[in-house]
Amino acid sequence: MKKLFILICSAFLFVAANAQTKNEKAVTENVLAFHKAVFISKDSLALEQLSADEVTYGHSKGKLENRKQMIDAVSKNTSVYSNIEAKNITVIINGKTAVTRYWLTGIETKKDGKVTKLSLNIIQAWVKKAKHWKMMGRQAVAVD
Amino acid sequence: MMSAEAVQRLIINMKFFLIILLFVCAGSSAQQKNKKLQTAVGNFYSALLDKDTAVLKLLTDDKLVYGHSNGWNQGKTELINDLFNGKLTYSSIKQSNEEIVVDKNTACVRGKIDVTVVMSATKLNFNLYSLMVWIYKKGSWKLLSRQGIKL
Repeated sequence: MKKLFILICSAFLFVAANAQTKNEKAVTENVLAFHKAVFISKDSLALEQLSADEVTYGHSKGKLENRKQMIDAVSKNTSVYSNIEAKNITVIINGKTAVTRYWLTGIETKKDGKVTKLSLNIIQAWVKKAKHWKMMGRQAVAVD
Repeated sequence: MMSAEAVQRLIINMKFFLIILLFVCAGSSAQQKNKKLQTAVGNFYSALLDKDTAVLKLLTDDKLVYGHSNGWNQGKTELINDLFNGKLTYSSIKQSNEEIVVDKNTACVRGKIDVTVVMSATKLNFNLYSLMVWIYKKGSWKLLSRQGIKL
């Protein structure tokens, strides 16, 4: 009887832990997909799929965009990015809310030839809607 | 005695009334949630100023990450201990231009924030922009994450 109880308990724990890892995995994949859509493929369709209607998108210098402005800006972005990397991704999940942070590094070459070294901490808030994680807020912070 | 038609009309009217009532209730509870959030943000800043660790414990999630504009991150325990041990003393916090977006039980709160803090006997003033992520759990809002950005 006791053995059975332990078995059932551990099965529950396993399921719970598994759900957590599954969510973490899904959120991490979204972070990377969003990162790729913004800095590598400039894929507005992916951004539409990954963001909530009410998303607010903050840049490191204080500019704040809504969903439409963000998608427009990304698809019309003429900068070329090289050596772009997403490092130290952390995911914190509580219920249907997730907060992710990562460190972005790389080089931005603007249309006029100006080269800037990028080093940004990016924080994002995600909400789970109908089984999919959607970005609700994003803010970049310039770091040395 | 009412005719069958009258009864039917009454039922339709009642259904209509109930639907309206439902919308009004949903609307007011959303409004209440919003109001609760604004109060929570205010209470959080007051608790930082007052070093009220009991309130801070209530208003923050266990998984809290409190990010400062220079890249320093505090967890829940650190945030509370650093105040309690005197590592940090907030002497003024003023928030303006608050913008709140609520999606069910998740909220993003953005705002400008002017902070004066004493750290290792040095008074520092920061003019920041901040993003807070709050979650609604069992009838109250809890801070899950915060990030400060230098303007």
